[in-house]
Amino acid sequence: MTLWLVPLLPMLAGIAIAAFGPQSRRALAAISGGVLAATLILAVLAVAGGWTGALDWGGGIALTARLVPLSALILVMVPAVALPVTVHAALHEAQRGLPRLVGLMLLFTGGMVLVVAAADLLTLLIGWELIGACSWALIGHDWRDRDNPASGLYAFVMTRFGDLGLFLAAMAAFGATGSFAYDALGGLQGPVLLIVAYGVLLSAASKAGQVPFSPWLFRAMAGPSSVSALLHAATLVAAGAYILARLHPVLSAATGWSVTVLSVGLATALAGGIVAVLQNHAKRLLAGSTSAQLGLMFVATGSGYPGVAALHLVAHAFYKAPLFLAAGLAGDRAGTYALDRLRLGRVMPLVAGAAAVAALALAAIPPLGGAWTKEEILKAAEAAGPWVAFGVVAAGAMSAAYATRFLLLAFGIGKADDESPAWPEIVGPLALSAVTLILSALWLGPVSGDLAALLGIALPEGSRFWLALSLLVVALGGASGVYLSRESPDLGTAGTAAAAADWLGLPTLVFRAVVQPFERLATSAASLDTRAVDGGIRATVTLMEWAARTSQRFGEAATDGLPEGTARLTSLAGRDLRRLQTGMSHHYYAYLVGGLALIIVFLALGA
Amino acid sequence: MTMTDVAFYLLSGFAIWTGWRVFRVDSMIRATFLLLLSFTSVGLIGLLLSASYLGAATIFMMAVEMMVMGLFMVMFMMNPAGLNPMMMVHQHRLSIVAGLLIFAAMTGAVLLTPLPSDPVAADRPVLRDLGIELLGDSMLIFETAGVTLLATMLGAVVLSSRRGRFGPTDAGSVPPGLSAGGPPAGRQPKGGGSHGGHGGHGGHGGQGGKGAHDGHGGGGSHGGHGKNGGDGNHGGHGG
Amino acid sequence: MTLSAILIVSAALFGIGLYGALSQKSFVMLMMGLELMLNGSLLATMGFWSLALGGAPKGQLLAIIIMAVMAIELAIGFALIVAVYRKRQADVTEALETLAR
Repeated sequence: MTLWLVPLLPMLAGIAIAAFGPQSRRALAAISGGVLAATLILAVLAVAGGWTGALDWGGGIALTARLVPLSALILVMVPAVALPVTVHAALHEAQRGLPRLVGLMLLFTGGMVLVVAAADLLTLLIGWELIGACSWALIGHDWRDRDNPASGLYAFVMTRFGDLGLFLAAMAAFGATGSFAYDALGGLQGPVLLIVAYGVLLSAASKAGQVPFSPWLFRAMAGPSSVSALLHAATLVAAGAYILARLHPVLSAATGWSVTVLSVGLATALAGGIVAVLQNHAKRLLAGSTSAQLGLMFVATGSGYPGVAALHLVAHAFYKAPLFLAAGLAGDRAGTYALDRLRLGRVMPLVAGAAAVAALALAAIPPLGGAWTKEEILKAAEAAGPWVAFGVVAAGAMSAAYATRFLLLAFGIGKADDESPAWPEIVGPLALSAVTLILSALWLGPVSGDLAALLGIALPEGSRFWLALSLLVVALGGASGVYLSRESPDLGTAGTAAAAADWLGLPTLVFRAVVQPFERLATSAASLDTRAVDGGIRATVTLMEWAARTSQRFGEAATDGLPEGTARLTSLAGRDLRRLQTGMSHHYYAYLVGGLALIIVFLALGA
Repeated sequence: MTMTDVAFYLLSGFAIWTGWRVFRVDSMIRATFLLLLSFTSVGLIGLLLSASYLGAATIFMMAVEMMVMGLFMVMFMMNPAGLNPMMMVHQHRLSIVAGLLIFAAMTGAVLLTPLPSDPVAADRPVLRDLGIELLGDSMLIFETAGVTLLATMLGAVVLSSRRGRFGPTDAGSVPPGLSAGGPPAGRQPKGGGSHGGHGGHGGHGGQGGKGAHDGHGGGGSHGGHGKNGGDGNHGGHGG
Repeated sequence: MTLSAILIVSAALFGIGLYGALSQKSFVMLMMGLELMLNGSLLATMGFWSLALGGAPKGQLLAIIIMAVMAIELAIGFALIVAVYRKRQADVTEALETLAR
């Protein structure tokens, strides 16, 4: 069986559902759930059976798909996360356009699977572009609100800009080795390797919402919360971290690459943490947290432990998705996402419970699985250096702070309400949080050791000092989060906190530095086109018009003048000739003499 | 340079000079006499050229012609004595140019043409040849010339007759206007006609005061013409 | 007294006569101009006969014809002048303008 089946199944199903899907929620949920379950089974079978895929495109280009243990892990994770989220979407999201939403989410899942299963840069690119396009379509799903398509476009353009790096890497690799395959990258050296490595890094950073590409993730929150859960928490943004982990063995040979990855990740982790702590918008808090956690994955990869990054990726997916779904439920119930107005703990207790589990995992509080992976990242950071480790610790503190803040503000004890959400709506978050709980098993040594051995991952060694420091700091962070939620629940609504919460002014910088100059360039190019290029044409037109007018004026004069003038000359000549008839004989004598002279002349000359 | 040449040059110069003066003098009679002198010198040149008959005939003819012309001068020109300066010319410049051009052209033709040379022999009986020619081979021409002269005489008499087929020739005669087509110049006679009151001419056989006066000889009261006012110049009353 | 000299003299007379014929207002003066022209031609004829024709009698005859022409022209000319004067009281050429256009 070919590996292509795994991505193709959800892709084709998604297209079919988007085009012809039923309107009924239950039908959509059932169909999408069935498709994704089948995809999951296929993924497991593919991993177990070592399936591969190959497609000869012709002209020396071939598409290949093959699994290494890292990609196998992610391959199973993607449909596993997509299943509850898509079902939740079918059961909870707005009825209008629901088949399109569900179909696109399935299509997206197929694209993500393609990204994971790819064994060469071209296949990767195809999947990469596909998930980018699906992200645009899904963010702008409710297109009747003007801001949503604009946000989708913003996100798309920003990530597409980063994709230029991947294009560059693919072209350089093909130019240098004649093939796109990952295996062929091993032989690259020198400038080509640098181009490939930094190109992939650029693309991954933009997809993962790292600094300076982070603002797009905030804009992406305009989409439905299921979309945010699937794309912008678990999978699409994770593709950036994934590809770095996947290609790490090859790309780490490029000079300065690991350090760059590490710096980018650390900067994002810290900045994202600050932004999330100060944020008042529930989904944006989670988005900032997503950037920060991905930054931690970058740190792990940069430190030389890509497997740890992959494990954190899995854990992150399983605790971030239910948080988004819960935030979506809360926001829909309260009509707003402002944290200072939620406090829906009494209204939806089960959801609050699921969110609590996920939030604790986000805060990296043991014994949850999210904590284990974060501590592994800290160990990896230790290997990179004490400052890196310190940064990771700080990031961990902030994540604890904002996680508790989110939980207590969004699902704190508030007013009670008779209307709890129905079962179909809460089954999704519950399922995901259950998995998060299960992942706590990672704390068990044998489990993690076996898993690492199975996946061929090297686990770093760390000191207890840092572990203790980290846990202490996490506790402090959690306490400060509680404090913040009690004392200043409206943090981030106004003042400097609100200004800083907008990614520390990064969107303004992007606008001033990129968008405005570009628009000015476009305007001047347009005016240049109008004046210079069209100028030639318009000058020709003016010239032609002038020529026509002049030729009309003078042409008329010529064509009319010739006959009229001749006539007038003739009549003048006639009138003048009449004057010869004076009646005076002496005049006639003079004419006679003249005529005689003429005759004499003629005779003298001619005859 | 013989005497003949000297005489020729003198005479030819005189002929040209008098010819020129004809049109420059104020007095009409003088103009007439100057033309006579011009013709006379041409006749004398003819004598020098051994055309004796021609020269003599020229002189005779021109003398009489100039007398006649003098009479007509006095009759028709307003300033016969030349007491006032007068120069009645029109298209003067054109005339000068035409004259000069003609002279130049003819001189050029004469100088450029190789002229034949066959001078008359000195002992040739020129007159005898002329007589025999006139009355011999060219009798027809001679006779024709004679008839032509007769016709001329008749024509002159008829043209200048005072009485035409349709009445007196000066009926309704008015002086021309000072401007073209304008009213007649001069005083208009009272009581119409041009002659009014010739009265007593007698001997005309009932034509009344006006009518053809030609050759009526013996009319007494011609002096009364002076009183007729208006129209002077009747011409040709002879005696 | 070459033939050229005679001819030049006669050309001069002819030119003066032409000048007179064209420029004189009075009829009589005009006639005098015509007379001068004929005078010139008479001289030329006599010269040709004497110096280029070898005395052939026909030359003299031509001169006589010219003289006859002179006479005829004078007679008829003056008769016409008289008649015109009788009719129009015109003694200058400008007076006869009824033939204009």
